[in-house]
Amino acid sequence: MIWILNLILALLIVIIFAYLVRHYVFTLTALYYRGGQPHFAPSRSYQPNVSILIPAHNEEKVIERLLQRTIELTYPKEKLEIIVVDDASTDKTSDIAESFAKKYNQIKVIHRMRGGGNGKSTVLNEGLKHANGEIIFCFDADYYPQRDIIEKLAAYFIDPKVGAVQGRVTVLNEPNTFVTRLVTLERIGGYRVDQLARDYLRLIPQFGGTVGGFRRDLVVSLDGWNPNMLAEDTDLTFRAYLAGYKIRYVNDAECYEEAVETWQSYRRQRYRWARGHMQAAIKHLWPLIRSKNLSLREKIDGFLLLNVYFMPLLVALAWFLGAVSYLVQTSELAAFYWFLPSVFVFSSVGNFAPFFEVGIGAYLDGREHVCRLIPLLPIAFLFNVAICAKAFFDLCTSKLVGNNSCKWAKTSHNGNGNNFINISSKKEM
Amino acid sequence: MSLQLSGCSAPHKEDPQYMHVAIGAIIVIVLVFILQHFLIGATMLSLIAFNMIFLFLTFPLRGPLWCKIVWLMLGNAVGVMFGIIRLSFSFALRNDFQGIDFFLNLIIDFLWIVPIWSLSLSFLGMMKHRKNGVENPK
Repeated sequence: MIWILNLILALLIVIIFAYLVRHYVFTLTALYYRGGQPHFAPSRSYQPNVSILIPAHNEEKVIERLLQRTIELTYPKEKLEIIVVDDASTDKTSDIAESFAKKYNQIKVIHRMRGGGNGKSTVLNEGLKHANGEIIFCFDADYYPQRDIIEKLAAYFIDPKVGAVQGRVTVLNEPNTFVTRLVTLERIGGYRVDQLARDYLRLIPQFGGTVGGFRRDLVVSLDGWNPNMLAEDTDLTFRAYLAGYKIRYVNDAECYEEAVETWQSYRRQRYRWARGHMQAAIKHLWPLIRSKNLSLREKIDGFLLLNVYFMPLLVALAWFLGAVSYLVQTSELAAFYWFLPSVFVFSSVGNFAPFFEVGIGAYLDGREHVCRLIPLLPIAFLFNVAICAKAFFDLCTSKLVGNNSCKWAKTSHNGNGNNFINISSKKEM
Repeated sequence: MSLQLSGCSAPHKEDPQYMHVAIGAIIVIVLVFILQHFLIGATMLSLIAFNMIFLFLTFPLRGPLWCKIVWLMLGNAVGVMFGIIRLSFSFALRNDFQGIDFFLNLIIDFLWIVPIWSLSLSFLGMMKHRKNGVENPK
């Protein structure tokens, strides 16, 4: 029996080590790599018609600032269409959006009367029916983009192979709570290092569902966003790659988000991400392996990306088995197995970015003060172990009983990010 | 329509400081050689892990060499102190708490490695900003 235990442990260590190496390569890439892919600067010779979709369900506290910002965007107004899809809101979201639509021709409001809050995919699909732009951008209602973000992102569509672009998400309300500070760390590691490196290395940068855009033709040919997926963004990312398109990440196209402020909101959001990502893994792993549209490196990265939400579970399992191994055998091998999982605890924390990835991201951003919070990342990791375990358990249960319906948990926003808008605007100027 | 490539929109990149890495490597080898006479097992492994992280992630960054060396030394000093404290606990509690001691030891190791590395990076960044500020006061 002991050899089975050792075999499982060895396998787990190999898997976890693969992720560690991947993140180390990403970190070095973000720091030093100068090759990679071309950067397309905004150009007046290429400015396609674009539509911005803003799904909104009870967003009265945040939607005004986003709509105000959309009218301040520097992209030519005649090529810009903003569509607010009011998802049966019961608060003042609809009134606020309508008041903007009356004042500004480029803003349209679509009202969904029933089924509010049941998922972003349905809302985006509704918006897609009314969108006329060649490029469809999505912004969540709590986001606050740079004025020239559309130019920066749209420029990349000049390359016909590019099916989608993703901009950078930065936390607006960082100082508010401990949770917002942890989310800030995750965002820095996830975007400034992870997404950037994946773009440079021609791997699979992920479309994050917001602060990004797709070619309209592509989304239509893929039948829009899948309402049965909780992580509709991950699903669309892989469907785009399987269809032979690429996704580009644009680091200097920044958009501020109002991060979740409480552990409860964090848990709800991450649970949805974890379960949705696991759903996407089950759906896309085999097509990914078989696809002829992807290179080997894209397949490897896609495989690791799809399985990333299983990692906290595997690390916890390795740790547990390491302890068991120590108790049942007193060999040096057991001690070695015991040592490695502890290393990876710090290497798989937060939004699955290791501590050094977050640290280097903060260093490159010139935000050294953030580095001092890195030792607290394991708290988020432990929380994520519980969240991913529940997501995995629920997914398995639903598969066993044949009930594939899943409830969308909407993230609520309290508008506290508004206090930071002036500061951000000044910085940008 | 023409493709317009831009160097300015490419994110900032570092120039690896190979000389610093070479000097750091020599210091790390000397340190490990000296410490292996006094420390064994998990403590030594933790120190090696810290030194590797520092050597490959901090020494190549821009910033004064003396600052990197000071933090490397400080990290090793903290690691040795942790090792000593750990050894005393492990001797004191061996009979009753061997399992618990073993369970906690390596977690505690990473509780010093990560903060020291993070602080050194934070300090290095501040030094870089200060230097940039002096060079470009506007």
